[in-house]
Amino acid sequence: MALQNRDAYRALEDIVSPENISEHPAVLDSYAYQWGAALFTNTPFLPRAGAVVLPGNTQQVQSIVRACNKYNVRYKAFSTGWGFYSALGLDETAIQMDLRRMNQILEINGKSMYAVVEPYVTSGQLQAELMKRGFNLNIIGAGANCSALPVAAHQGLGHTSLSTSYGPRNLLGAEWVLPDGDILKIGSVGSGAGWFCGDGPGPSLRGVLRGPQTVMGGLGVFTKAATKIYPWSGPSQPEIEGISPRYSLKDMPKNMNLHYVVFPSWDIFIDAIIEVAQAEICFAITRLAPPMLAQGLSGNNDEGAELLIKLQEQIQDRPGFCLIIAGNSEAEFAYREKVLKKIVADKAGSFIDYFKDEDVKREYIWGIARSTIAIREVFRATGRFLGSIGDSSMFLTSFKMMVAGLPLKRQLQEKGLVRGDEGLDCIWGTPIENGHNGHAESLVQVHPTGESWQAVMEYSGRCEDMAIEDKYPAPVTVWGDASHDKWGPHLCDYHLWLRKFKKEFDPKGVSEPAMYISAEGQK
Amino acid sequence: MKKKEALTGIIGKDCVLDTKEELDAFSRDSSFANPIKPRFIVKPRNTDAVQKLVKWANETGTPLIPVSSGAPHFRGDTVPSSGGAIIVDLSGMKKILRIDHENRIAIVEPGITFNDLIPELEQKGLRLNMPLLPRNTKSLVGSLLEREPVTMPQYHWDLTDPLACTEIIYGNGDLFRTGSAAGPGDLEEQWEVGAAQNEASGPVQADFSRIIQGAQGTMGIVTWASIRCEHLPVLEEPFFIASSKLDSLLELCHHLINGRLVDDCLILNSTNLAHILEKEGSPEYETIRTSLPQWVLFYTITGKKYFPEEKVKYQIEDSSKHARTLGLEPVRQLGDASAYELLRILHGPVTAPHWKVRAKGSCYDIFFLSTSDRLSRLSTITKDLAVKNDYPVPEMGIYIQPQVQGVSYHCEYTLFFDPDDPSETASIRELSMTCFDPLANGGAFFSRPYGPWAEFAYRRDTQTTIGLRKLKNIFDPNNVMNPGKLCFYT
Repeated sequence: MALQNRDAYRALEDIVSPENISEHPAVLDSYAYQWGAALFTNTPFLPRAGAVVLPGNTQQVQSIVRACNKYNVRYKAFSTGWGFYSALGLDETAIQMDLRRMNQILEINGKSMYAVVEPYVTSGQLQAELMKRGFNLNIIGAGANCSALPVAAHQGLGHTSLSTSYGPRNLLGAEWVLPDGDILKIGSVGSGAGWFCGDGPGPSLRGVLRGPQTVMGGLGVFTKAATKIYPWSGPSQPEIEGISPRYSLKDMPKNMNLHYVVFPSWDIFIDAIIEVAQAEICFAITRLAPPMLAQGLSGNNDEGAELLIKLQEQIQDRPGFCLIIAGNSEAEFAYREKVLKKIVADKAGSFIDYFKDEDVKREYIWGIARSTIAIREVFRATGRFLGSIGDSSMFLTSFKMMVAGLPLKRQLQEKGLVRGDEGLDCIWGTPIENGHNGHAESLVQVHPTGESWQAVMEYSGRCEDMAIEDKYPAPVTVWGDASHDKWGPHLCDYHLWLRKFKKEFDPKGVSEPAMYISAEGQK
Repeated sequence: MKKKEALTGIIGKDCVLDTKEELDAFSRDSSFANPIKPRFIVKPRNTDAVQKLVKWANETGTPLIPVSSGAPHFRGDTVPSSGGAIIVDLSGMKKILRIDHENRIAIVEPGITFNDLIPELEQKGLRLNMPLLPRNTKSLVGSLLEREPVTMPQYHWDLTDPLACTEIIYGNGDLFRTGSAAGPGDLEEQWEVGAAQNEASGPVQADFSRIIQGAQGTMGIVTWASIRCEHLPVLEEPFFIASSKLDSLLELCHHLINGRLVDDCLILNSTNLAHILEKEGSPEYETIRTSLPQWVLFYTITGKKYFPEEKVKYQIEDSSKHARTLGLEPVRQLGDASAYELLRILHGPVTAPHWKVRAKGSCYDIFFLSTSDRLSRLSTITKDLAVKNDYPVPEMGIYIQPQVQGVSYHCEYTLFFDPDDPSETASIRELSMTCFDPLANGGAFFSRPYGPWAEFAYRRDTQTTIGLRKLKNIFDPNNVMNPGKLCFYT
């Protein structure tokens, strides 16, 4: 189905030229095909948009948004895209805006520790440039193939967030085409002073632009942003060996090490992970359950299953986490290793032998630094996942909530509605900013059926109910009117303020709100 | 009289003040803001009273000006911009609601000063990421809401730090809690499951605390805030590095912060360092100042829970290596200045009178954010402006503070002056009005614009002005909260 409003189509075509707009069903289906679509349609496809438009620069984005306001056509922009978020809510009366032509790294400022990127710059691309200069960035768990724009991912957490923070706090200046088509430059860039600051003058409009979660296409289009960058202690031009998906560092860096440590109980595990995080000795700490380790360190599902048996012989159901230590000098590296050994000994922990193998270390260090293994951990077994996703305030509460939800997950697994995880927990998590904050997720690998999706959604919903009942913080999967209406009354009615933002900044309601909030609420 | 009766009913009999002396004290400050006398001063003791007051102000169209710090005030933000205003003096709300060692969080009401909290934190093995020597009457919550710079850049991940969550009565009278404090449940219920009100952002798809910070009380009244703290070190070693070249020190700062080698890290010129160190029994200010080089970098290296001596040892070696690469040498003593003494002053209780008024009775600060590569040029611009306005450059204090782990630098030029000298005062006033454009054109970002700077700052950024007015309309639709400040004119 083509875009219903033909005047709007012609206006959009005039803006981007005919080669950058399409309403061909095959093209539109390539956007409508989404893992997770079955959740809404019981098919692999979401409804097609009326057209897809590919702007090449901010001015074109602005013109498109203005045309959408004029013709009352809803729009949703996405950058690299990941899941149903980028297309949900569209139909033949709305357009998909694909920002792939906006793919430039605009600035890397090593002295001021930031980089400015357009939406289609991936984290992998930016990281490659940064590493050459001795820097790194926070890469989200969804992988290095995702946008480096710190307002693109729905949350912005990754395996190195312990030392590289996460989305809401890494964002600096930003260029934002507002839902009505005006261009707002957030922070210092709005005053013509450069991209180094995202707050001010006075109160910060960054507060509207995102929270722990982004607005997910529901409040205009972000066309450029500065992200904070971090020091990188590893090799500046790492030599890589292996074949996809198992790339590895060719040489083991002398100033880096990887360990997997386990502890006798969940309580001690939580104590230990927080203690190590607060000791300020690690580049990364990432809680990976054995099934996730096995999938991340194998080439296919069969290899993964074999490896899991081997790992379990050593791990023996003890909760553990993976960590990378890096030092800028020999003495620093030695000190950090010594502190780790002391904490592990104090907490009656053990180092797992499998991870003492240098080949494993080289592969896993690169996989975590590059965030290339994360997807295998959750996707490869069934091709899709969801789960109970915690908040980003504290590791302790987030993790406790995930553990509390495990019996519910087991029920689904016993009924065969979702993949079994071999009876293990499949909880991922990480402390953030040296343990000041933290996050955890209990992941469920979903079968490609509507029944499986419905089961996992029911599980997520019951975990949310439990969180509300027990006063655990809100998860970072609160989006759309129904979800906001569920959580809002328990969170100081924030959803009513959010609706006011939507109304003030998007008076015509044309920025598609399915993943954000509508001004008027559920119809 | 009706208003007074109503206020007495809301706040309590002894908490509504309107004597001439009391009102006069709030009608002006040390800035050049036009004096306007408030109608009343009220001293609420709890959140409920604040909420009732804000609702009453909406019904009666009465401007409210929240003030949590004691005098002297320097920025003009607590001076009413219109007649009939009520000063909401929060200095009596002095509860420390919680200190949580495990999660490194403290929660305090707005009347708590640095001196109130620091000893309590120390008992629990914690410390604050402090601004540089705040006055003894300065509210901790006030400092956080103003986004004042802090001296430990490695623990300053975001410009909003170390503020975490807040409770606020918005301008329309609604109570709200920002960040992870929003819920579910009240504070006690959250503590019961182990939560600690430590996530500033949120709830969910907005970051409400960012809208409150930097707002100069124009969005609402904060009734408590939670603060990120750090573990108290076991060992702490201070160092000075001197140079006549600012750029060399900035280069070193970059390496020290990137290596996460230092805790405190700041640069002072000789004037500021001498003013900070001068005290009874020590050499006079001028003697100290002339014994110092032009620029001094001060940093500390700390050891904490695990093997503190070993950590300090390697960090001293690594930081010294960076310094020597740039031809610089860390020392403990520079002329009459001792690094240990500065450390003691920076981390000790705040004393009165404030070091900035001790010198000549008053001061005017020109401050902004920028990047390290622009600071030398901005320093030259400021000095040229001072010369043009007959201000003696050697008397100008300069403080440079790396922020957000070295992303940006807070630059603060302090012009010490005698408020009873009309000619000096006129010269400083002129400078305050003329400094904005040359500095902004040179790359200075006035992220915290007070007084006339607000007008200049928002003139440069129309879209931000429009956006902020939308927010003001949402949170304070009747414009009762500190009207006339920032871009919120009546």
